[in-house]
Amino acid sequence: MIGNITPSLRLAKGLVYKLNIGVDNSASTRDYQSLASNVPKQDGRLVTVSTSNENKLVENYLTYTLQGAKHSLTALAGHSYQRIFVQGRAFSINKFPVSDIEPIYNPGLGQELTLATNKPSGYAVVNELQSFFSRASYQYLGKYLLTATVRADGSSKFGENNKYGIFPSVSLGWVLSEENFLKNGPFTDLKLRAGWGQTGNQEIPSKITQALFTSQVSSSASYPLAESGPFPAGTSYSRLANPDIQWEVSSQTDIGLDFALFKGALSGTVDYFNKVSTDILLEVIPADPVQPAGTFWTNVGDMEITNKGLELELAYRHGSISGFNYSIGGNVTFIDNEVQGSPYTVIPSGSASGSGLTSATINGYVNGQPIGTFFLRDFTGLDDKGLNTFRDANGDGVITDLDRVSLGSALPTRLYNFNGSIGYKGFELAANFNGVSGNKIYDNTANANFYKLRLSKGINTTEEAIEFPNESTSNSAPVSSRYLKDGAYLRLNNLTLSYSLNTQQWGITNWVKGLTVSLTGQNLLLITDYDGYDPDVNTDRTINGISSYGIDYLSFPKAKSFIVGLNVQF
Amino acid sequence: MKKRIIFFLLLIGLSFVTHNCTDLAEEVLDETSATGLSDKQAADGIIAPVYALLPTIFQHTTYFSLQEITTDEAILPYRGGTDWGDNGIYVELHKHTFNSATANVRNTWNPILQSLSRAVTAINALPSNADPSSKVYLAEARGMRAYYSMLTLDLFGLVFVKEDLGQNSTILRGAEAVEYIKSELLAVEPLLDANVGPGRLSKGAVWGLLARLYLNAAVYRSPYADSFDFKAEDMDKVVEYCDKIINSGSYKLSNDYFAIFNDENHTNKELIFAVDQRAELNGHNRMAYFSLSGDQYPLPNFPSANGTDGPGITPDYYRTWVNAYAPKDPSADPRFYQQNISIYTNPGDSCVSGSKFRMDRGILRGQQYGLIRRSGAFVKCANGDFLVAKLFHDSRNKPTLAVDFTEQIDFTVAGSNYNTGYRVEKYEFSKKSSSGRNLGDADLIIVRLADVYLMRAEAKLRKSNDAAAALADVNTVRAARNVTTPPPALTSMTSTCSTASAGLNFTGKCCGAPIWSALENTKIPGRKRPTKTSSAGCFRFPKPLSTGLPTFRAISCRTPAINAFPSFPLYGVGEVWASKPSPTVHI
Repeated sequence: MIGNITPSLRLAKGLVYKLNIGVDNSASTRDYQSLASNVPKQDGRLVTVSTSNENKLVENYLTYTLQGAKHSLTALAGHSYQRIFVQGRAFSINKFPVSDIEPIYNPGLGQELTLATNKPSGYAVVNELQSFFSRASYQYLGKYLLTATVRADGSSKFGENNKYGIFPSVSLGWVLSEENFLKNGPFTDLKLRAGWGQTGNQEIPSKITQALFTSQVSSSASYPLAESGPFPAGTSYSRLANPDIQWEVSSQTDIGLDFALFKGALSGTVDYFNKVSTDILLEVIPADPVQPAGTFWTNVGDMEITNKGLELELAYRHGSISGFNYSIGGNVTFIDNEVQGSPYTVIPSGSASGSGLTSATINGYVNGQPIGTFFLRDFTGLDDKGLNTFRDANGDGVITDLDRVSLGSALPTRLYNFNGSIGYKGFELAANFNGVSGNKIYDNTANANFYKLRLSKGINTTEEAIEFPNESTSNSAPVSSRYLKDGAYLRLNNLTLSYSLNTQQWGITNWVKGLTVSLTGQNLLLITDYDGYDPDVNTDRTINGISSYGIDYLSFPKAKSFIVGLNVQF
Repeated sequence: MKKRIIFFLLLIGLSFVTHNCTDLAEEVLDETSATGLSDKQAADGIIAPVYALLPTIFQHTTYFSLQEITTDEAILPYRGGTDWGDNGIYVELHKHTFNSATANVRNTWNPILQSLSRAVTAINALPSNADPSSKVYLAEARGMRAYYSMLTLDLFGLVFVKEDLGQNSTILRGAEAVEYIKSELLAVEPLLDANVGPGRLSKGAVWGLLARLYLNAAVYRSPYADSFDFKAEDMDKVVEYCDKIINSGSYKLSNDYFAIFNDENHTNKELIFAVDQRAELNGHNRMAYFSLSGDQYPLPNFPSANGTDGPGITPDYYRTWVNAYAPKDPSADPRFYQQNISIYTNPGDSCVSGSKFRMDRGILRGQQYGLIRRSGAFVKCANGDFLVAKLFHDSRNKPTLAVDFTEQIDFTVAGSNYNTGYRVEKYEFSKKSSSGRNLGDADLIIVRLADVYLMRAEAKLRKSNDAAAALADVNTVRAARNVTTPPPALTSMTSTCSTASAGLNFTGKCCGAPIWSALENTKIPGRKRPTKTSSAGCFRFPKPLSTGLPTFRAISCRTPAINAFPSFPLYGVGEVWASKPSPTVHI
């Protein structure tokens, strides 16, 4: 259920009060049922999981606008409050008899309901956010632009002393093309922009600031203290408190230039951005290991993640009276991402999946490397027995997890896309390409399934398993750079051929204003060295809330599709 | 204008009805910290968690893996290229190429350290509790802190001293660590109850732990020494505490060896200190499940309770039994094998009633017979009994590969098939275990009376080479297993046997070795470790070997693991915690 009301009220000239109340509620129920059967022998079981989500938003703000001949000012002050309530519950019942009644229709047919096998579970958390914000935009002569904002964002997830983070920003613009010295220049539009601002991140689980001291009869807290009788409820810490946890802060600087030439036929932008995140929120192990819990959430002190780069965009349009027109455009982004000052050798993420790969990790946050770095043993080929060899990175004479090294990142260093169209008298052909490069992909699918050992066990595999003729059939396939692949690609995203009927010429404008027939092909062409299904992949293998990047495990390829369209306007 | 102001106020009012300006205090809906407990509930509630993680510590993949798979007693290859690969951790454990990042090390470390912190919490909380039980509980909490410290000393070479949860731990090693554990155990010994059963720390349990500590002290004091100085006064202490236990009359050797490991072993008088497992609360069946074939189903009631083709014993280990009894088969020793499925000796017994079917125990060799599972149910005979027949690897989709356990087991393709290696079924497969993994009932033994006799024998032998006294103790244990023909008495105790412990172990014969006794028998000489091949910094995890044992196959010597463990912060940096994580920490 989604609802929204936004009344506004003009209080005085230029002063408007606005209220925005929004509600977004959703609820879902999922039933998992196993039907009972005799052959194969299987008991019926029903698990019902219900979740509900209530999201309430209230915003009040006052806007003051002053429009003068030379000056224009917009000032805004406001307050917002958001409450997010998430709840989930699960119940189950076992031992449904073989019957033509499905368990979902009559859960009462289940014959077994014990706390050992059907313990209900549930959770309910509330997250409140409250912000006070203000913004002032000022323009002088339409040439000089200044916008400044300050917001104080508060979250119930943070400690008493750190609920609020203050996040200012300021941006300046200068429309050079309006200046007299450029008025008669080649530029239709020329604007220089610069800005700096901070934002906060509160993405941690709830209740981190509060220790939990529970009393319960459970296998992890209770223990028999007597020969018979009920088991005592064990009182134990389930969670370490971090009462001082606070907002993760990202400070971003932007400098940009917009331009248009030849009456707008050629236009483009250049942008430089530099974002530095500090007080990074992570779940880490405590310094003293004698702790009620193995990990706790904190702002990792000196750690910084920098994401900087340059973005260029150009577009050119040409039209002629003859009815022939074309356009061409593209953009490219260069990104440089780096983790610095982490007190940890590696913060692993990206758990590998598949037989034989339990507990192995693929990604790691490592100093001097981008997030999403692949932190792996470096495969150096096969020895004379046809067994794996790896680089002994720490030189201790044996190959262990301590020999893992950074071998590239899942984050591309370049992203680009370009498009073009040509048209003539109602016909138009348009194409759109996009691509990335500088990134790698960990092919977990191949790691778990395509290796030679499987041949000797008589298990299906693919040609990739016999890539090395001298590989021993007893060679194992641990996580290593052997399955790390180049992820660069260029894709023809979209190709459209269309024809628009000139309704005026046909004299049917009275009945039909417009008529267009089109044929669109999506994902028609993919150029890549990656031999998995599709290099545009990111299977989520998060560990402890630390994101994974660029892992391909049993993912489906993107669909190729053709769309025939008929668009009629009356 | 007036109307507008009223409307404005109405809107403001509306926004305050829908919410108040919040103070953002976090509302906790689904948890509550315990309040309103009686003194008795609070005392019970604070001591129970101190013990609660013991079943987790003593799981198949945790302590057991670190202590058994790192030795010649157990090996776990990548079964059939599909099972127990786990990114090579079991191969690493056996080859001693593991490190702190190995999940099994971390997963053993975490619950031990968490239990230590729970003991500190209890030590901080119990003095202010008025319940009469709180004094004994306080002694137990302090004693358990010493026991967990013994585990960290034994496994990782250090102990953490922490008196208050709010302060950082201090690290002790070597002689200081031994002194600390000793003084803690001695401090609580008079305060403990003698009659709380094997599941809690009793006077007898502390005596057993003290005997174990003194017997190992030479190694704990300088784990990387070239030779160990088993001091006479230490050995006297071992004898003193073993005497206390034996003379207390509270404990009795079991006449049936395998009964010690049965579901009902909680009342077996041989047990001194054990993890009290109850199916209804905390029991796991992992000890019994781990080695069995995935096509062995021990329980007629539960057609999904099977084994997993985990570790087998190495041929080297098996040969210690063969050599001990040659030319007879080692099954001459009732502790080697107990036949419960009759079809092996009586081929006509192919139909067995559900109440009579029981798994064999001990070391399982060759073709296995058992319940036949088809389409999720066991096949029955015409008379309603269960069919017992030759087993094949049906669950692996290899219906022609017999469940025929071979002596050879290794990391080659042939040696790592599903059926390789002789298997161990020491603990009873819990009769309540519906999944084969859950609902264990047997107590997991930490100290038992046979161990006490053997510790006393070893101490006497080490102190004054008193072979006669040692032989008497060893033969007491052997003769006690008389529910069937007991193992023959030993007649001599050679020096090789004495130092190698083999003569002192449960099989009782020189160079036979006890079956998978990591939990119950942690004294140094009972364990087989890689030999030292170079002088400086040889890897001896978790404990150095004694002399006289065969070398560990194809394993080269490594640098000390303890100092190479980066995930345990500040090892080797200093004895006191710094306030921040060290620069080399894995999460």
